[in-house]
Amino acid sequence: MRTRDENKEAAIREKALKMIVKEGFDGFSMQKLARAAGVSPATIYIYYKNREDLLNSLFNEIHKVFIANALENFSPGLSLEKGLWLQWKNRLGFILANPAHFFFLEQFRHSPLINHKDISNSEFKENMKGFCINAIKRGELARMEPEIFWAVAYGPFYSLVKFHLQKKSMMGNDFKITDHKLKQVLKMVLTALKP
Amino acid sequence: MTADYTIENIHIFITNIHTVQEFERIKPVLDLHKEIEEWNIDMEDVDRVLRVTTTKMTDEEIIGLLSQFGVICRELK
Repeated sequence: MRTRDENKEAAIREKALKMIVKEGFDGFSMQKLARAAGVSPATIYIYYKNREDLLNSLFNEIHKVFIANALENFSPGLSLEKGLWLQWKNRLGFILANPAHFFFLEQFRHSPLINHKDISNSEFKENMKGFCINAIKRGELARMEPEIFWAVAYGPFYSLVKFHLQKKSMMGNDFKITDHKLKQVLKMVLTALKP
Repeated sequence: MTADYTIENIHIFITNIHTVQEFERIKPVLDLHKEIEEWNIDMEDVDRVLRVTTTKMTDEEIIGLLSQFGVICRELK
C-alpha cells in the first residue's frame, strides 16, 4: 500500500513558498504549483483539499517555527526592557535566517485567510499578554490598547527590518540593522511606553 | 489537512460543476452518501477538482454515482 510521501509533500510546500514570494497570493494556483513542482495536480490534491487548505497549512507550519523562535529564552516575567529586546533579537534572527518565510507570513497576515478558523496562536498571545500585564504592574508600561502597544513596541522594529531587507531606506541609503541602532531605538520606544 | 489516510482512500476528479446551483444540487448526494467520509470541490480551480475520501468506493463507482445526477467527472491524473 502506498503511503504519504513526506519528501514529496515537503517539496511541494517549498515550491509553493517560492512561488508566493515571487508572484504573491494572486498569482498562485494549484495548477501553476503542480507545473512548477513537476508533479501532477492530483498529487497536490492528495495532500491538500484546495488552495486555501494549502496556504493555511503552510502558514501554520511556518508560524509555529516563528513562535518557537520568538519564545526562545523568553518568559512573561522579564522586565519590559529585557523582554522587548529579546523579542526583537529573536524575531530578527528568524527573519534574517528565513526572509522568504517572513515574506510569506506578512502576505498571509494581510490576506483574509488570517481570520480562518484553522488559524490560531493562543500560546503566543498568552505569553505576550502576561508579559504586558507584569510590566504594567511593575510600573514600566502605561495602560493602553493592545494595538497601540504593538504599534509602538514593534512598529519601529519592523520598519527598520523592512529597510534592512530592501537594502535601502527612503533616503536611498544602504541601510543595515545593527545592535547599536536597535538599542538606540529601544531606548526611545521604552520612553514612549512609560506610564 | 486530514491526519490519517492512505492515498488509496482519496479520489480526485475533474468535474463540470461550474455554478453554485450545480454545486448545491450535488451537495446532498455527497453529504448523505454513507460510504463517503469527506468530500470537497475546489470551486476556485479551473478543473473544479472534486476530492472524495472513502474506504469503500472505487473511482468508477463515484463517477457512476455522479453521472446519475448529470455531473460528468473523470479521474485527475
